[in-house]
Amino acid sequence: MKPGSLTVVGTGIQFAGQITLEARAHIKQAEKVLFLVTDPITADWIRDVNPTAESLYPCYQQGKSRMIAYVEMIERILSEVRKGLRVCAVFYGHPGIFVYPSHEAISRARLEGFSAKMLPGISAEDCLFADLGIDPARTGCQSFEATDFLIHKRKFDTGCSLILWQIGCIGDLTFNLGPYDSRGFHVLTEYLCQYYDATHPVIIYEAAEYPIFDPTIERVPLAKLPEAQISPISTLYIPPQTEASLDYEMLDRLGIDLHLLVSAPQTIDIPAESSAL
Amino acid sequence: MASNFTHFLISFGDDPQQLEAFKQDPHAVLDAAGLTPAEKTLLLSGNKQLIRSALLADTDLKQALGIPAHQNLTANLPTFIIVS
Repeated sequence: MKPGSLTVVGTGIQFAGQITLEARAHIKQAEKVLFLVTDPITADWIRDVNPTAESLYPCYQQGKSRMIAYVEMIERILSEVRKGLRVCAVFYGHPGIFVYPSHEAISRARLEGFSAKMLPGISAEDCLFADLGIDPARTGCQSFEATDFLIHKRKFDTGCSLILWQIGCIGDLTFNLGPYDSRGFHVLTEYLCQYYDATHPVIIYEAAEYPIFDPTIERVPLAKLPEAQISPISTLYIPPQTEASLDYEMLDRLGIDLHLLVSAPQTIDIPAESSAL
Repeated sequence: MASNFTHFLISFGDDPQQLEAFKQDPHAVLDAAGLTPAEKTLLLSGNKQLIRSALLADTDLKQALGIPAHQNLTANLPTFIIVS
């Protein structure tokens, strides 16, 4: 194995408190840290832990394709690994969820003969399960990036939970400092109304980045979605509308006693939408 | 603003008792932390975007995030879209 290595870690969603002990140790002991986070406090904290830390944010440019920015980030990361350094790349949330450059940097580093690995982190989905009190094991859970969901016409089941990410920037593949066009959000609502009742309650969710604030949890009827306040990091949670039926033949084949099946109803306890103040 | 204010916010991450105390009596916790009146007002506003804007107005924090000095501020960086 060549000298030089890459470890990719995540900061979690909430600064400082959600980073794992092993991720922090890797940041601390790296010979070069490169990071892409959304919060200035997290950036400051990373620099405190390791003074070699450098932001990948300059790869972004207004109006430029995000994919071009990601390719530049990958090259920037690999250039440090090729110097023979122990490199730690840090991303917001879980470094492997909705992070193209992290997976690609690891693949390329391995192809070039370097040791490369990813450590898990706390993702926005983890926060959503905790904040909304949802156990994905109950009804199953489907999770899609919103633009991807629409343009590929992904198949889904209205009897399972459905989570759609990045509903605030549907159809926009550029890096955009200003507000995103909400046209795609209207399209999404119309599309979902073909499968769900217009009155079906859905939740717009944003995990809390600051410990002193509560997460954003706004419950609205599906048809009223376009009137809701959303941001580029808003997520849409759609609870199941229908109950899944049992396949009795499969129960029989698997030897499952029907009486042992416990089907607990799932309720969503939504805390009042307010800050901690 | 950077050091005392950011250290104060970061401290909530590994001190759940302080977080609980803040939720019960924010004024007392803010007074004890020695924050400036402007910083206290900012946190008491409960406005996340205002806090973020104030943090990004700090040259050092803006530089830490990697945002060029001449670039306008953004409320939220977009996340990482993958469309295959």
